[in-house]
Amino acid sequence: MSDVTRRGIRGERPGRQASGGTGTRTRRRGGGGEQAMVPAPEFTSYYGKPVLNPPTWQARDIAGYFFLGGLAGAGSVLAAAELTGRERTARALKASSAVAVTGSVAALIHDLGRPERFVNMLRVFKPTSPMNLGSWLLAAYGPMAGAAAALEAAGRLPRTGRAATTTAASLGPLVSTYTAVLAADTAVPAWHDGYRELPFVFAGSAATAASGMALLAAPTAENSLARSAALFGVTLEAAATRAMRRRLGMVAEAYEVGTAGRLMRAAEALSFAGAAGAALFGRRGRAASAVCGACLLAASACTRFGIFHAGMESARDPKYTVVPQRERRKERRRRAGGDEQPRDRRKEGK
Amino acid sequence: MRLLDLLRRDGVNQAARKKPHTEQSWVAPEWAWSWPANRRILYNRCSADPRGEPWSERKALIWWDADHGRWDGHDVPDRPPSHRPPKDATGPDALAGNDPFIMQADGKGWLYAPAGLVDGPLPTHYEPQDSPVPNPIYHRQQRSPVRQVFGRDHNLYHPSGDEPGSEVYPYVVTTYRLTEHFTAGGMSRWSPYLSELQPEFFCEVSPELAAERGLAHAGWATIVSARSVIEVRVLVTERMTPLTVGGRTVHQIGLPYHWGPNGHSRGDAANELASIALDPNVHIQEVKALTVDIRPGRRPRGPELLDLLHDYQRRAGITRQTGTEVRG
Amino acid sequence: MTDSLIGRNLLAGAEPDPAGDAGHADHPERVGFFTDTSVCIGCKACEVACKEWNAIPEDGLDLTGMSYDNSQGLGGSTWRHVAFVEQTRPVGAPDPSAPPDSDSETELRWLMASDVCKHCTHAACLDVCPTGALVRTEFGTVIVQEDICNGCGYCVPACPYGVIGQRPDDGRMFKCTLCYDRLGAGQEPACAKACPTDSIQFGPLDELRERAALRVDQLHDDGVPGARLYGQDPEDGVGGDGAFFLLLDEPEVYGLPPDPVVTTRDLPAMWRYAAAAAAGLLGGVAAAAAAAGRSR
Repeated sequence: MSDVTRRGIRGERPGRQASGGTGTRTRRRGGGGEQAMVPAPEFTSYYGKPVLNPPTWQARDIAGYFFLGGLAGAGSVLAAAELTGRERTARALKASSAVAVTGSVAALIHDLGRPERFVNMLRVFKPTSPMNLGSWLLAAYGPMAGAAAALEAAGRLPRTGRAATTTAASLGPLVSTYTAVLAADTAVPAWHDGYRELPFVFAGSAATAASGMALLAAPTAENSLARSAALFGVTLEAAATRAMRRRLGMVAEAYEVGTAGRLMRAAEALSFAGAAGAALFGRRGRAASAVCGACLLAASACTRFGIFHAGMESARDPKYTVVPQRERRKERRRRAGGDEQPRDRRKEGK
Repeated sequence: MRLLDLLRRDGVNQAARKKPHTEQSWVAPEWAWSWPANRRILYNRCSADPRGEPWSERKALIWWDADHGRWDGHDVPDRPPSHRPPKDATGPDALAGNDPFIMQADGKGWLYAPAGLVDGPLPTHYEPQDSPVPNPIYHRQQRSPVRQVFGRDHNLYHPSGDEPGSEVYPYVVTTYRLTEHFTAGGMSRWSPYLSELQPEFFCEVSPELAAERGLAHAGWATIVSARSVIEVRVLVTERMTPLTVGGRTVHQIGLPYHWGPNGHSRGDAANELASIALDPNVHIQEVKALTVDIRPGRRPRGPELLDLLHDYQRRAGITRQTGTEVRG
Repeated sequence: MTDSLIGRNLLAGAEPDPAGDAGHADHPERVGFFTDTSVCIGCKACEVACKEWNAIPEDGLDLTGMSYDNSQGLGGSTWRHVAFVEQTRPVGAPDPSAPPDSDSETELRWLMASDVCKHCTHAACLDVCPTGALVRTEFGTVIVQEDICNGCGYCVPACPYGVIGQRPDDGRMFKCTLCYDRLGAGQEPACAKACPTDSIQFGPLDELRERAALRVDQLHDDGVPGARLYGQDPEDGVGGDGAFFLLLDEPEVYGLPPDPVVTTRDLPAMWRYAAAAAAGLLGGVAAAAAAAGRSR
């Protein structure tokens, strides 16, 4: 409060130093006489609104790009199978990798708000941006996969083709796993909090998809590699997914409910059916291995879409952001030995 | 002294001067000219007692400096405290040095107003034209006997207080402003920036009233008076509280009055509910206090709206004479 | 004079000179906002001034029912957002400033706060932007260069505060620029100029931090124990915000994250795991090939 004295105004405070006030009292009818202390809630939010802005990405574009990128990258690794004499497998996978990486890039461009500006992705070389590094990676890998497939189809320049295949095979694994870094390098709890395991999930899922493609497209005589690779991929993915969900704590619920939950469970079932089926029946005939191959491809797609939807859900519901962060902050304060409650100086006697 | 002489005192055109507040006292005497004498606070004489001492040193605006025989202070004073007018003085010259209310004929503040008011001389209490409770002061006079009423079919009044039928419109409405819109909204509702801040006509009700009438937060409600039926969105908030009046609970409904049928943001007009009943002195209509009923859901359109309106009027037993009495 | 970048971790931790580290030589002092929500009156002049100055489109005529907040949150076309929170609790609840009184009384409080882009010292949006559209200005603020942005949307989920967003009919991402054009003309941002209570204070960041510390102490002395600063600590997960706040309750009550961390802090580790997984993929397929032997 300021005074008007004979010498002028005294004690005037600018508006930003106004007393904050302690609210108003209202008298309400009824109300519990025995109301005990209202416990501080563990979780509040602002009208249930998300804390983060959920990604603007479309599932079909970005989860599709994850799937196709994984299929392409792991497919290039398997395409090096021509070294083991599996000519027709190699030919099929080179073709599928070329198509898949093209589809992957098309999906990325389609998802842009300004697709005509896609070239700006290569405007800089920026190590802190997985999407930028990924663009450079795809810019190197894509032509290699394309050249390997084209030269294979044309039957020309075998040494060049071999070089392209080898290069694609060496870049392929990174193509399959960098997308996990891309997803994890956000604030989305279901993705970021699993950043250690997610690359292994993607690697396993990519191997699953590539083996599925091999089972589908290659003759039975050559498919022992595909069957082994399928077992590897499915096992790696399952183990990594389990480890990730354990580490996620309460955020793991985003992978269990709604669309994400359905897709993850379908992926699990399809992987098991595909890999086990291939191991047991893969030698019986083209039909059996094709069905198993299709199951594995579908499983990989379900995984990617499931992860995508789990991320969207964890961004949309504020509890996934607020609860773990409160825990983390509480833990940090406990370790620092500080108190949780804000101070009232009047009680401390100043 | 002529006004022009006053204005050009100090050789400066006082009315055109706009010295910023950062370069003068908070009273700002050098910002334009406050006609007639650059007195910035009317009745500033009240800040000091009859002898000229400020009532409080923490609220000292002007004070009498006896040593120098003049006023000192932050504002422009009038007469010395000891000044007494000559017997034949008339008009403002007849005011003494301790008559602070210089706009009144006798220089005094009036609690008893012998002239100038149709409903004087003493203030008293009458209930508004539409009221859910009887007048607690006068059992037999509910409303002001000298108010102006117009008993027409489009301007029917409500039974009030203990009159039969007043329970048909049991809730009180008060209208007010929002920060984001301006008066009737004719300008602010055409601004997209203001419209998106408060995009729809809404009412504010307490949780108790919402429970009593089945109103859903962010849902729709229909509000009915004898004049019209409007629809509003509902905001249930604890900032609205039920009142206890005359020993019973009276609920209030808050209505911002900024909406109309056009602009980026459209809605019904709150003042459609009000009647025309004018105060006897300056003939201002009473739109800030009225009674209504509220129910959930959107209002009917077309002829069904009139059916609802007339149904309510019938239940309350309203005629053109209702509420128009002088005595009673 | 900028320090050498060699040997420093620029992804997380305290960083006293982000503009210098970004390559600006001889740059002006770092500026930002101190938004003191204890004096906010919820007038939304900041929202209107921002939209008027930056010619931002209207983005939604929906009554939300969220008290008086119909703007909902920050996004591509809302760069200042005033939050309204009505709180009631019985007077028996722990509140040292409330004397004990009758049980049927409740205490009502209406919190109002103007939210804005935090212009983080470690800005995740800037880090992840693949086209280099997002940059650090000489004032230490973060802006989007709209002629470069191709709307990839990566910045949107990267921001821990949920600030930046897309304009649907435009395709690009937009956010608060701290009125970069006004700063260049020596003026304060539009929202700070419009704010009638000086809730939004603009100035050199150091000075704002000092002022904020004094204000929090003043409020504690006045018996407002819940007053706290949010985002002013250079050691926090984003290296301190260029726009920080004084709040009267927990951050999540206002829709703010309790403990935001820039995602880039973990990026080196992410690449290590990705490299390991890639090696694992290669190794796994090689092992499968060995197990499967040559084609029959």
